[in-house]
Amino acid sequence: MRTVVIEVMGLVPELLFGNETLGGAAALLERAAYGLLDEQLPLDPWLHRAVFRNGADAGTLGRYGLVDRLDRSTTVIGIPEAPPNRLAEALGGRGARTIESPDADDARGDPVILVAELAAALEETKDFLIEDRGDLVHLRDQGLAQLQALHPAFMDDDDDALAAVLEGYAALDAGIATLARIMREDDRLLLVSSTGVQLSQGVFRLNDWLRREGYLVLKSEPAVDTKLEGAGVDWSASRAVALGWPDGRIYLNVAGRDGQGIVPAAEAAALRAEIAGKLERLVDDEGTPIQGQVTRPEEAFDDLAGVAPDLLVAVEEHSIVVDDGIGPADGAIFRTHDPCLSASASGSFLLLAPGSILEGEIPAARLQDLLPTLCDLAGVAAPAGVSGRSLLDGLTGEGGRDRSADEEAAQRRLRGLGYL
Amino acid sequence: MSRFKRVIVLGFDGLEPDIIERMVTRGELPAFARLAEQGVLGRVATTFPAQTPVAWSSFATGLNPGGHGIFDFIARDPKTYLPDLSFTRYEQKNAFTPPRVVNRRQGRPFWETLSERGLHSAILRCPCSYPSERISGHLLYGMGVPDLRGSLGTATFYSSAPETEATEGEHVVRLEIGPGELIRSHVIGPINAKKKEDFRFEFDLQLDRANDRALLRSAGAPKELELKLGEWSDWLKLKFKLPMLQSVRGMTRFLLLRLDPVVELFASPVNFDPQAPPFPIGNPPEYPRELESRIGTYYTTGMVEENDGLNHGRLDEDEYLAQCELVWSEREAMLELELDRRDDGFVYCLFDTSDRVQHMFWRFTEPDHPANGAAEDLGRHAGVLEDVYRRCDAILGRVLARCSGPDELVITLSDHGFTTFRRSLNLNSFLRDAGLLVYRSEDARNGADFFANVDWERTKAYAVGFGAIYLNRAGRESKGSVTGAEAEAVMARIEEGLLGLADPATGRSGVRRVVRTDAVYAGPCQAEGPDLLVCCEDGYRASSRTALGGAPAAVYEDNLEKWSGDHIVDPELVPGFLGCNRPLAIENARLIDLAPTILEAFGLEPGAKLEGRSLWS
Repeated sequence: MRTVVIEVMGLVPELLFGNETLGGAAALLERAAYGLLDEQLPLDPWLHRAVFRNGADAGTLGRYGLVDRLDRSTTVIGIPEAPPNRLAEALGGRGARTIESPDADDARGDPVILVAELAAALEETKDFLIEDRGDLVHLRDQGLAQLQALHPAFMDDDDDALAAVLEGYAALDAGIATLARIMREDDRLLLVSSTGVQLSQGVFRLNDWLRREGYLVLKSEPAVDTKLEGAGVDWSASRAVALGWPDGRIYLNVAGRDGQGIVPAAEAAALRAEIAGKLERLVDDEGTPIQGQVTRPEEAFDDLAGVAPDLLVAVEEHSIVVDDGIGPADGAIFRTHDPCLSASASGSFLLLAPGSILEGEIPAARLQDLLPTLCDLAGVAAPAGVSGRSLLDGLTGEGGRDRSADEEAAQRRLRGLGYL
Repeated sequence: MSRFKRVIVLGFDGLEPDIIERMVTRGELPAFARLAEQGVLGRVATTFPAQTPVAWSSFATGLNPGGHGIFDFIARDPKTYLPDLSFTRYEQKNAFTPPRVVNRRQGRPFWETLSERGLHSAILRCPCSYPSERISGHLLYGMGVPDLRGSLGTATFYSSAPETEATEGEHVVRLEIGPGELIRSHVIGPINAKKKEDFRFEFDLQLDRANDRALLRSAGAPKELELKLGEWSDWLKLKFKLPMLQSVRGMTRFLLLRLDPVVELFASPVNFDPQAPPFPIGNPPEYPRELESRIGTYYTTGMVEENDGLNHGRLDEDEYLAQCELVWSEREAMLELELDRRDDGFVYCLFDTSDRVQHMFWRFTEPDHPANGAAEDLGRHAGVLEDVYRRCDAILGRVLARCSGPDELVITLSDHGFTTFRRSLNLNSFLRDAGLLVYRSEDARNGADFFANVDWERTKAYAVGFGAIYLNRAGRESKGSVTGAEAEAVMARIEEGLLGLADPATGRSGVRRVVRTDAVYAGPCQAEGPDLLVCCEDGYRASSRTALGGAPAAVYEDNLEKWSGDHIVDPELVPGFLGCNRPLAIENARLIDLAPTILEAFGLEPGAKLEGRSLWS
């Protein structure tokens, strides 16, 4: 009864499962459960790591970013203590091992080493199973993401860049195929990537925008670009500030709630709606709508513990991401830069659990559902604080295709055939 | 027989030989008349059934439908009994890979043989060539290329009127006029299957009523698109962001229909952008891009004309025809380009607007057509049908003038003729009434589409598509019960029943013949086809409800749609026309005879695989 977890950052599932030259992982789809994960806000892979390991979303954890507000006193922003790792606690049983890839600092920037480190980590995972060293082996890879970051043009179908990135996918594919082969009937293998990647070509400076709109006031004009925590916010005049990248979180400065709050509590809802409305209608310097996606946290999270933001802001549709820096007042709010990769909402997973009824494409799975599912499969209780639900819940094992979906698809294909 | 350096085939979809002959006699079609004088002008037998994808597939492959496997626009899956589009199949390996489209047409188009012999071909918009095999030359796919939603074409109607409701086959978007006469709206893109919603492309519409126009601003190209009242706009190129594919590019064009008192806007289906189609739409894959750089942006979907827009009353006749005009022009520009490119090889170009306009405007030539409203002024559009023929004649005239060399052969033909469509025949209703199609309960007898509530264990036969009847055969259908021994009796019963099925309006049956398909189909795909073909009399057609597996209460119904002409009657009644600038022996010519004729024109042996005979003898 062992669990293998392979946590990859920035996996492009199409490259692993849809590439003609690979086939190891794709072959598993016939007997595994798999799917895209629901969007997990904020788009922060480091925070997602905690979401996955705790089976609880950001709101339930009360943690909204790597850099976060530590309390409501408004001035304290920092890197809070990491949430616990309940994965090992719940599934570790006879022993747990975490393998980091790459584990050498010199790997960064060298594609050959990155691929070799990933292959070595997969090899070590295999050895853990063969030698039966415990009940949980957890490989956490950032090498593939680093490899992709070195060759961002692969997202634009640049052949050379794609070939370089595919080296990493080939290593992952071969490793997964090997692990699937040596797994025992009662073992489980989870491959998970909490985000996908997107090519971003610019930033929307959310704090600069808040400042331009008069919501955020600084004590003195910054000489250079800086971060919110060093910018000298005039809390007695500021009604909203933002944190986060590549999506942003807006915090209103509400009297009676926040340490130096100035927005009367009765007016907070209206202010929130006003800011949301402006962002949804915002156009860039050329007059093009940026298609801002504004989410209210109570709609996105199972719970709202800790210092929850008032709005979540993403601009994913426009090849630009949110940046929370603050610069001189005459600086541009929209800035372009060379294409680079940032996280996108397209997380994905594959869960191979031989002998389980969990098979086929699973719609609407969430990152926080994976830990309770693994616990369910292992027959152990889910740890306290879990907000996700087991994907086995409600499954009957009957499966079968949905005729109405097939009908709908046929009807759609025939649409426009004048004879009908 | 002489050997030709270049062969040009002009396809004019649905041109009716009777009308050509009538107009030639009146001296109104000089180019067709010239063919009759210098070469030949006559008829060509169409396929069973007389449908575009079936007919052009036989033309291309030289095979009967039993050989190429396209039997109707609509086929069914014998496992699920679900009707679906017949000429493409969607395959998706898994949720992480985009779906792929597979061409279901079997056999080999004769231009592959030309390629093997080193001859260049340019094939423009041949139905069922999508997605296609590689050839030496240039291919632009035609019927079968979907829009970005995977449909043949779903247009969008925008209105500020609060009560506007969508009919089947269109999107309706409500417009909210904001302060400053600004409207925020969106183009509807591909389906987000995961979230069960549509991907959208947002735009701002700035009304400028004083100048009878609106400005559409978006992240697309151009950033600002001018929409003039009553005119089809230029293309708007746009990009939808998808989770897996990063993004998909498309394009649409608008028609600003009204500014007062309500604002109404029409958007064509979102076509693939030739610069970056999600699947190849031509061969070599870069050809569609080159074509755009040479002739400008063009429609890429397989069915281009806005038939649904006119049928639903979103567009009026003039607006519909204005769009057809764009299609005629761009198609001719493609043809010109390929004729200019070189002076040898094979060139095929299909003009299919002729078919669509006849479907939509036939009623104007028949004052008593059931689709005509009492108060309607039919005179205004009475000449549109013949204008189609004049238009085709002009195109033919230009081609004949420029391709007049001694080694240039020009062939022109239609895939089928045309006739009126006044009465709809619900074949599944007939089968139900005859006890051959059985429903699970009495309440479900007026059967919904897609064979909802059919009791397959007790069903003997069912109709799918526009005249095809399938027996529910044991061993073929998943819940089949009709054995080989029983089949003949069931078919005889259906034939007898249909021939005696009196239309209450006339007292006579709308069915002219019921054909056993083993008499007309032979080949490796034969088993996939239907068992019987219902061949209608002039004016009758299998209903659209029948096509999708529905069974309304009545067997016969008036056709009240603007789609008022058709050709899916007994193929004997609707042969196509066939003309050539050289004398060909076209007596009893069939569509399958064209492939061997063209191969022979290049001095090539047709080979034993082709079923037709050369028309040179």
